[in-house]
Amino acid sequence: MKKILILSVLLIAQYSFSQDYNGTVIDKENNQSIPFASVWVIELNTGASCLANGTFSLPISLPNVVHLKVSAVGYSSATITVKKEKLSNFTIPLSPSHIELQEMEISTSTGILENYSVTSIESKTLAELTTISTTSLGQAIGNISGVYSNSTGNGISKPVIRGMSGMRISTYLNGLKIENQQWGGDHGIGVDALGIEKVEVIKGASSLLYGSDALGGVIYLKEAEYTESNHLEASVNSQFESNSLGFTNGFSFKLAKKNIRFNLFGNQTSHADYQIPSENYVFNSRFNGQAIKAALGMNKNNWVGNIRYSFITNELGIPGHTHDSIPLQEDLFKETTSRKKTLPLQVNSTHYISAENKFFFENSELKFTLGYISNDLQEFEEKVTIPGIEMKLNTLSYNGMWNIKKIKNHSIIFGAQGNFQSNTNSPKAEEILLRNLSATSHGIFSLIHSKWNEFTQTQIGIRGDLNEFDIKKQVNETENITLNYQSLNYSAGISYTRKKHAFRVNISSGYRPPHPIESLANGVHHSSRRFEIGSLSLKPEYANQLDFSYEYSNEHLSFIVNPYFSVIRNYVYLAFTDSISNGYPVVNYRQNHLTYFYGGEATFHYHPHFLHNLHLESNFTYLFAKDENQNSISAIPQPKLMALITYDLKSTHKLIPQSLAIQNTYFGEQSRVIENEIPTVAYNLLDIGANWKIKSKKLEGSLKIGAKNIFNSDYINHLSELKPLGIQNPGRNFYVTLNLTINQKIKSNEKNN
Amino acid sequence: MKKITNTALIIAALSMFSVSCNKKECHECHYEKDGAEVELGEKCDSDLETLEADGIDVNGVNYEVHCHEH
Repeated sequence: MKKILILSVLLIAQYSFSQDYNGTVIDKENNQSIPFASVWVIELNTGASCLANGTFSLPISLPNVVHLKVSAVGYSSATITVKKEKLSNFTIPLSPSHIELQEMEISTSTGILENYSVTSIESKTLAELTTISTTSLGQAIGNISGVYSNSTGNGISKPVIRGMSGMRISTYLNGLKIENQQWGGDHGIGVDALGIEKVEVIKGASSLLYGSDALGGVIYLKEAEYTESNHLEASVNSQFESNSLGFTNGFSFKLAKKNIRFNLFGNQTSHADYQIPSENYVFNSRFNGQAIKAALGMNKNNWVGNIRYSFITNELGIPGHTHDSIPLQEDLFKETTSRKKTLPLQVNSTHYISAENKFFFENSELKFTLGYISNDLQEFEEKVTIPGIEMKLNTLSYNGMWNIKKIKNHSIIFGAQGNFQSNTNSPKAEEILLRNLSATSHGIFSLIHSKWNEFTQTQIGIRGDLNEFDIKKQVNETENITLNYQSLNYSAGISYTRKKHAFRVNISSGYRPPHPIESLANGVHHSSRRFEIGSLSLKPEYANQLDFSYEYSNEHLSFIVNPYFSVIRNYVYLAFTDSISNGYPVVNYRQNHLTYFYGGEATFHYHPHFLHNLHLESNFTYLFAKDENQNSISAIPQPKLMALITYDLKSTHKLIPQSLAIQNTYFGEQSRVIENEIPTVAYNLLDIGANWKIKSKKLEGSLKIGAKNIFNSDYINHLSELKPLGIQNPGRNFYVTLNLTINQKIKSNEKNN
Repeated sequence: MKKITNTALIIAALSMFSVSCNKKECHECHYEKDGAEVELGEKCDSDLETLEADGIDVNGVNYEVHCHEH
C-alpha cells in the first residue's frame, strides 16, 4: 500500500512539474499590451488568461509544436502555430476589430483550419445554437442549415442531414462513434447537451475520416474544454419550460493543475406531457433522464491523454399509443398533464468510456482512441416489469490516425478505424425484433491535403471497408447466418480562396451495408407502432455526391451558398402493406434502384456598419428527392427559412438585458409524399428571448428568459413520428435558463523546474 | 476555496447517487374477468413482477394481470 502511495505521489509530481512558457499579447497597430486576452492551447484543451499588463504564463508541459488560439474583446482572434522553445517572452499581436463574423477555427473533426478545408463543414458552439433555449440537443443541432430534427414527442429527437437520418448519419462524441441502436426512428441521438461545447456537421457522403457509411453526413460533438491551468471552476445551471413543466438541473466542476485536468458534469431532467395549442396534453409524452460525464486529461512532453466516461439514462414515454385501428382522441390527448411513469415506455441507458492518446512529433501527429459503449434498450408495451423487447448492444471500437504534416506543401493522413459489436436479447423480453448477433467493421483510409499556392488547396483520399455480421441461429435453423460486405470509396476536392471569396468543389462516394434489422427484422417495433419485416436479399447502398460551395465574407457581411447533388444506388426504405400483424401495420424493408437527392443551403450573416449592436443571421435549406421513376421519397424535410436577429444592448444596468433575440422559422409546404404518407402544410414559428449577464466579484453567469412558438401555432412537422396520428408539436412555451459559475485560481506551492 | 471544492464534490456525489439508486416501483394492478376489471390494489417490486409474469389463479382459472393505467 505504501509503495502504491509513493508511486502515485511520484507520478503526480512527474505530471505536475513543467517549464513555464510566457509571453505578451499586444495590439498590432499601436504595440500596446492587451489586458485579459485568452491564450488557449488547442492540443491540451486548456490555457491561460493574460494579466492586466497583457502578459500570460503557461506553467504546463507542452508538445514540441502547439497551436494557440488567442482572443480578446475588440480584436480578431488568431490561431498561431509555434514551437515550444519560442514561447519565452513571446509576443502575439492581435488586429483590432469591432466585429468578428467568423472566427479562425481549427476543425475538431478534421484538424484543418476551417477556412482551408476542402469539404463543407459547419461548426457552431452550443451557445450559438441556443440563443433561444432548446429542449434537447437534437433541436439545437436542427438550427444548423441543412440539418433537421426527427422527433417522437419532446423526449426523442434525432438529427436529419440533407434528408437522411438513422444509420445514414454517424454521430461522434470526442472521436468515438456513438452506437445505440440508431436504426430506430424512435431511438434518439444517445447523448444530451450536458457538457457539450461545440457541434460540427460534415454534410453528405464526404467524410472518409469518419466512415463511409455516413451517406447523409457526420455530426461531431466536442465536449467542453478544461478550465485554465491552476484554476478551479464550479457551476450550476437550471432550465424550466412552461409547456411541459419541464426542468433540467445540472452542475459542472472543473479542476486543472498544471499537467492534470479534470471535468465532471451531471444533470437531471424531467418533463410532464406537453401541451398543444388546443390546450390539451399529449398523453405519455413525458420523459425523465439523468446523465453524468467525467473527463481526465493528462500530458507530458509530446504526449496528451484523455480518459472520458459518460452514463446517460432516459425513461421516455411513447405517445400515440392506441389499441384501435382508428385512434380515439381520448387515447391520444388528455385535459391534464402528468409526469407519472406509464406504458408504453422506452428505457435507454448507455455507458461510454474512451481513452484517447495523442503524440506530437516534429512534423507529424499520432492519435489513437479506444472506446467501449454499452447500450441497453428496453421497450415496455403491456407490462411494467417485463419488457416487450430488451437488447444489449456492446461495442468496442478503435480509431487511429497518423497525420504527417509537412512533406513540402502536402500533408498526409493514414488511418484505421473499426469496431467489434454484439447484440444480445434479454431472455426476460417477450419478443425479439433484432436477433442476437456479432458484427465487425474495419476500415483503412488515406488522405492527401496539398497546398499548391497561396490560393489553391486540394484533398484526395481513398478508403477501404470490410463489414461482417454473424447472426446467431434460431431454434429452427441449423447454422448461423453470415453476411459479408466490402467496398472501396474515394473523395476529391479543391478549394480556391482569394481575398473575400472562397470556392469549394468536392466529389465523393460512400457505402452502407444493410443493417441486420433491415435484413432480418420480423416482429413488432413498439415505439414505431409497426410490424417490421426485413429481407436477406438487400444489397449495400452506394452513394456519389457532388458538392459545391461559394463563400463571400468581409468585415460586415458573410454569405455562403452550398448546392449539391447526390445519387444513391439501392436506397433502403420502409414500404407499408395492407396487412396487419399483432395489431400493427406490416412494413417491409425494400430498395430503390436509384434515388436522387439534390438541393442546397444558403447562410447569411450581416452586421451593419451603421449599427454595430445588430446582428442579422439567416439560413435557407431546400431538398428535393426522387427515385429513377420520378416517384417521391418518404420523410423528406420541408424547405426551411430561419432568421435570427440579435441586438446587443451592452447595458451595465443589472435589470436591463445584455441582448435581445427574435427568431423566425418558416417551414414550407411538403406535398411530395409517397402513398400513405400525409402532406404537410407550411407554418411559421416565432421565438423571442432576452439574455442577461450576471457578474459580481466572484460569480459569473447568465439568465435567459424567452418564449418559443409565441403565437401558439398549431402545426405538425413533416418529420414527426407522431404525424400519422395527427398529434401536433408543442404550443407556446416560456423558458427560463440560469447559469452561475465560480472560477478561482488555485494557490500553487510547487516550484517550476 | 475549500468550501467551494467540498460543496462541488458533495453535489457530484449526490448526483451520482441519484443516478445509480433504484427506487421502489409500485403500480395499481387489475385483471379482467367476464368483461369487468377486478382491482388487486397497489403491488410493488417482486410481488408486481410475479403477478405480471405468472398472472393470478382464481377458482382454477389463470388470468393475465395488468399493472398500468392505459
